[in-house]
Amino acid sequence: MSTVRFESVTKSYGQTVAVRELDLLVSDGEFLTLLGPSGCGKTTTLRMTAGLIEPSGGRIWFDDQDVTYAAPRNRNIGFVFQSPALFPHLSVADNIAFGLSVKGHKKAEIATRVDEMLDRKSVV
Amino acid sequence: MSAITAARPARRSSRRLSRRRIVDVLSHAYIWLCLIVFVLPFMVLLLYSFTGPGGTYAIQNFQYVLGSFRENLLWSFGISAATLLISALISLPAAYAIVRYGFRGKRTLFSALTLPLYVPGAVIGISLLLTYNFTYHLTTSPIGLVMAMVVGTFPLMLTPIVVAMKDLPLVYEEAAACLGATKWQAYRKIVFPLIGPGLSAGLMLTFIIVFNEYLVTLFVHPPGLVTAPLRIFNLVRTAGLLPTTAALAVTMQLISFAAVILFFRVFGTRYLKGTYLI
Repeated sequence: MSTVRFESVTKSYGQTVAVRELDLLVSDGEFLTLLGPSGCGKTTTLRMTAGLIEPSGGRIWFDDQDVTYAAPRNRNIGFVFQSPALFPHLSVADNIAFGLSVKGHKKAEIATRVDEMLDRKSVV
Repeated sequence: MSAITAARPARRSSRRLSRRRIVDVLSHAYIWLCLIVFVLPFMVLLLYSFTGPGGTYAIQNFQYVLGSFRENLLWSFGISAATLLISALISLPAAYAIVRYGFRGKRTLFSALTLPLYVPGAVIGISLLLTYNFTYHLTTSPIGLVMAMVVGTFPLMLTPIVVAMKDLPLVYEEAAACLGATKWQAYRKIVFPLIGPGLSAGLMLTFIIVFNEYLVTLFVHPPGLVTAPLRIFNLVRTAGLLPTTAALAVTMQLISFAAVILFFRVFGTRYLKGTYLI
């Protein structure tokens, strides 16, 4: 776990400002809910946290590491999408295995960990 | 009294039935007429390809297909394969860029890229002949012919891939990125399989056009390289319509049909089944 810190983060699309100078500190282990009307920048904030979009200004820190412009894969962060994002051409097991396989884990290790997860969730 | 009342509804229903029958017959006749118009040329060609000397039945015509026409068919397959490969290697990244990145003049560029589809083969042929002859001196090698095919047909490859890319939600790539995939891994493991139907449609369309193309080939083929459609054209022009030529034509048609059937059997919509895309 780590802390997530936003430092006057701004995101604008052309003339439209989606997030204006957001300062935010999410402490280690904190459970935080963003609540607001649609179009107020909740999704934009989350997507900047995950690294799917880059902020127009400001800094984002995970602990003392500056991740403002880091690629999503270098952030080690989980993200649940609004629309279904299961890979339709892969089996359930392959969907679970995807993250491990792209990180270059060994096949045998992936298989045991996928089995473990399937057992825990009583999928099989 | 009772006899009259019984007869009346029966007569009315039979009249209604006969009217429906006339409509039935007419609609069947219409469908069959259309089918005959569409299928007749192929059936005539098929029958003619089996005609022997003196109007007899001869399967020997097809021996020529594997005999003296073998080289022409092999050239056709070779040119098609090279064209498919180069066209796919150009179109896959191009389609990704066109759909995923915004840049000025995108629409204009895409319209311009599809232009070769609307230009007559003879125009493409003569312009490529001029270009290749004076710039690269390529008209004496098969590479020139392959390049001509790529230039003339790559919209057929690009367009279905662009459509498939547009139909593919960005969320899959984003999910892959969050799970630790590099851009290339996301493309290879997620995007590429999911645009499979689009790619295979492009492959099929391009194959059918390139395999059967004779007009562009006529302009830019190197001496000695005669593809199957060009051989048919040459034979019909010099020797008239021979049953052996018809046999080669039938073979080419069967190969084209096989490509279409293979596409629907093997690829079809397999990759997209079970998603909300279909």
